[in-house]
Amino acid sequence: MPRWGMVIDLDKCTGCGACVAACKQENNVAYNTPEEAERGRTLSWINIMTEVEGEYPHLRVRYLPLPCMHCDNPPCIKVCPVRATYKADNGIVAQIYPRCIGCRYCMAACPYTVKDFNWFEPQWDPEIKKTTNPDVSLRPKGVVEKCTFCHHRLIKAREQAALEGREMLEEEYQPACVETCPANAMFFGDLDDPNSIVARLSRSPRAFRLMEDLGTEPKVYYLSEGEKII
Amino acid sequence: MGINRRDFLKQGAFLLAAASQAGWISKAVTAQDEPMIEAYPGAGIETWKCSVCRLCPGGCGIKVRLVDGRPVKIEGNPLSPVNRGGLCPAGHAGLQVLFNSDRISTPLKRVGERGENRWEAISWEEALQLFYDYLLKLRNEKTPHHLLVLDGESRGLQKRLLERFLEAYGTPNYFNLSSQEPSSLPFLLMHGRKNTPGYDFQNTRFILSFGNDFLDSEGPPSRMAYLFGELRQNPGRNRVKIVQIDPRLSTTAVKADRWIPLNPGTYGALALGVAHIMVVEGLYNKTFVENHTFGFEDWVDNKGNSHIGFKTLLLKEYYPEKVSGITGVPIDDIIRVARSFAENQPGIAIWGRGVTNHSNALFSQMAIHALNALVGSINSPGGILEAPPEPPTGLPPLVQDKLAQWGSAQSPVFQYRGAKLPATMESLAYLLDNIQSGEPYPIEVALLIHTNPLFELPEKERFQKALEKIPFVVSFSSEMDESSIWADLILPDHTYLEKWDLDYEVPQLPFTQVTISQPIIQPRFNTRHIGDVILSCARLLGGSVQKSLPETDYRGLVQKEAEALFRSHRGFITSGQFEDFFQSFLSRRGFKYQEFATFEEFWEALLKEGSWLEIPQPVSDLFPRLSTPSGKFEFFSQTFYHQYKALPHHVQNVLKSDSPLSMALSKGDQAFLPHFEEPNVNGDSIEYPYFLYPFSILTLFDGKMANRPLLMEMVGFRRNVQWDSWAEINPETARELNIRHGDWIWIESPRGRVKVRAHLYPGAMPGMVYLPLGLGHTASGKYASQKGVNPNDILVFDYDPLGGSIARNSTRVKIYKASVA
Repeated sequence: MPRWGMVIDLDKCTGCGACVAACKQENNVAYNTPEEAERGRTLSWINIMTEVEGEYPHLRVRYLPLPCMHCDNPPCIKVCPVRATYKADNGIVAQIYPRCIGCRYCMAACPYTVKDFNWFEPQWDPEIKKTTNPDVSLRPKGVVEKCTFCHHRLIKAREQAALEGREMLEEEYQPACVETCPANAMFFGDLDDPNSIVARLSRSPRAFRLMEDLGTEPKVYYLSEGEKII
Repeated sequence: MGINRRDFLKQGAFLLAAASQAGWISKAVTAQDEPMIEAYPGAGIETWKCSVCRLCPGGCGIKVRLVDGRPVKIEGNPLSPVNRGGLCPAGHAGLQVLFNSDRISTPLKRVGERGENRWEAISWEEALQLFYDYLLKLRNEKTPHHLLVLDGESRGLQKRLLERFLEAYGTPNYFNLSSQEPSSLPFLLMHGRKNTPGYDFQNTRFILSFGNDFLDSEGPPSRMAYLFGELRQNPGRNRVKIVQIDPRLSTTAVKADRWIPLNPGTYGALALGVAHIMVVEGLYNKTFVENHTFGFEDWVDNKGNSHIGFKTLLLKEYYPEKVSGITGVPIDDIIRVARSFAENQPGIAIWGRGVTNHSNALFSQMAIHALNALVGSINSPGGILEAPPEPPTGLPPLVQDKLAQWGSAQSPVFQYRGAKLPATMESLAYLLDNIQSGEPYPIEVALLIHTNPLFELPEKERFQKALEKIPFVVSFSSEMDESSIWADLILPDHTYLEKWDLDYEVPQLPFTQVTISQPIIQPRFNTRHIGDVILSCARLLGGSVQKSLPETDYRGLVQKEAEALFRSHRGFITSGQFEDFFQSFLSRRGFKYQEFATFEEFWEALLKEGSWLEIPQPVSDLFPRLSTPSGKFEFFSQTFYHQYKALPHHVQNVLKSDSPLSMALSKGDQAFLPHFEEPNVNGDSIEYPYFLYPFSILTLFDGKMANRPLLMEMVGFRRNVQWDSWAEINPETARELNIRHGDWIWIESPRGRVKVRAHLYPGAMPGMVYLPLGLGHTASGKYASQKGVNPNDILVFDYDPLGGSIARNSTRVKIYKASVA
């Protein structure tokens, strides 16, 4: 069983936001009204975090794309009272929407703050709703949602391989953000396969993970020259 | 819903027990009135179609995923030589251009007053007849040059068709309003070529960027990001060094090796200061300068007059102390930049909108371009290359009747008072003045092609007044934007995802590429391809116009052009990065394996793979003769000099004493050399102590993308701002003004004021305020309008009198806290 993981090279990343847009389009992430955005209720499964340090003109700014870390030891699943969020055998931390009761314990428990709550029934523009992706369900009101590593793409790739009677290749499964990254700064694959590019990069001296001291064992690695960010 | 959560939980135990016996658990869950998750009705058959993104001039190849014939996602085309599979955030919002409730679905005729936004839907026959009548009228009255075209988007074949039509029709008035287009005037003056050359970023080792935010909204965004990722960090390559010169800590400055802030508008002085150091320390490429440039040393013309050379000017005027005083850059930094630029060759010095947004743009650009010549990066690998050849055309030769020849030879209405200076003095400012005054001739019909000047330009009243002078205005917009409201007739074009086209004019590419644009789905509304409109007009006009454009439909024209590509036996259809390199490797040696026996096969492959590519021959050691008067790279622009000298004396005197040029011309020989001029500033420095700098952002570009909720929700994603404008102010400046993060503030210029929220950003230069462009629409659809503010509303209309670019960074403002919002 593979253990899916991601590597993001911050030295290549230009913080362009293509991953954010690709993710929203791929996963039917609903947009909110400006008024709700004001209250911090924008849904986004991956965000670009900006950190500014210093004073003009001696400044250092860093951009950091932040998807769900898909921790090997995820704090969010321990607090879920209804087992709506769980870790699958392939390492993906998943969410079952019909089971979610909207208590948001998982949001509070997540140290990376990557989970979003649907405060309203999504208001789709009737025209724009026509472009939603049929592979991903639209979420109802009152559930928590987050990055799935585009799990539906895994299912599709696996089925395609099964149909053709062969093993699925690792590169057949790429999340939307990785596929679109214009700077090729994102990599995805099986961390347990020692020859995969993500496994090799995760062993790089440049590699680090966010808040490793919490023991969450994230499966998203970052590469950066210089010191660790957090 | 019939069951609330509490009841649902109560019933849970019972349901589970029952389900285990009866096996109807799924039925129990879906038995609610509305299913929680809708089931997808279709069979889910997936197809992909290749096309090209037309949302900015970047020309990225895209592939669109369709499920049961319904487009659901846009991806970058990995085979496209431009973007190699990447796609910027705006590209992803393309489907919201296609599916948008604010689209114009049918031709519209104005019924109320202009600007009242009252329309009557008419048929295409009627609309075309109306349009054609006006075109015919101008021809009948022997004034075809009274037709003006303002184009904000056309590239490739569509542009070729329009230019051809206008030439055959007989008007020189084709004005490109695309705000992304970099000015090519410095290349004409120093290089002798009209179009932007290719930049060989792939082989360069140093990028010295003067205000070019190429990792954000300038240049083809996905291509620059791809090159950045590829060249900068991949092991085994020389890591490209990037030095970004910009008052604001822009995205490119964040990612650059070194960021050098400088005083606003002093780019030219810094470039000359760097050149000074290179000359003094002997760091320039002496062989190149000696053999291939003109005007470096002092020289004597054939009449015996002596002129100063670039070197003398540098040594005399641009010593480090002075330059440091002008620019505010420490002397050490100037020296360091000069040395590292000279050491890390090949290198390129580029400029961007930071430079062209000032009234001294042309001379700053020339100063920056002079650096390229000093290091010999002209026509050499890793530097600036010849513009790649245009793809072959399938159009028949142009036929012009006498009227068209006469009309085309008239001086364009966008030139300074009709002055015959073909190299210079073309500007929107002159266009507006000339339309206003009706001199040298009135404009009677104007076509607005995917451009929105009433939103994109400062002092829109000026444009509005000019429009009022034009009896008939036609817009081809597919959404009701601010400018189309003022039109008389709207002939809605397809969106780019419903169109046939060939795209090849991507700026700065060092290779020729043609990407096909094909309809992803059939046109959704009663819209018509602008190419088809032009072709049917040509047919109706008949005579030489029809002979120049005999094709009956645009799709046929696309196919004919593609056939010309096939017959040319140049280039190949792309099939992946390494295959492309291999193909060009082979073709240089006279081999070609990807041959198609028939055009049909070629066409199929083009539709399937998307792009055709031709990599030019490698640069030969022999330096080509440039088409400047001296045949060399000219520090002293003889093109400009001769044109000026050829003018009659009284015109020269007018230009010298009373024209936007008088400042430059009063400096004698310097006017034709790269030199520094103080940028214009509008507003009193005591009443308006701060500078307003607008900047464009990757998500919205010039504002055409503002009606896409996907982008509006992530408009300021790096600053955590959604659906709104933000004013970037340095915390220091904010403290002076007693403004805190998130406060509502007024920004007031001599032209008016806007209310916006303050965003304290340490990367903003103290004493400046930065506003993003693209927001603050008053029309253009429900997601765009009334969101944020448009900096153009308070900018003073200023421009570079020679290069013509609009000087957006010249307005002074005052800032004060708004009382309760």
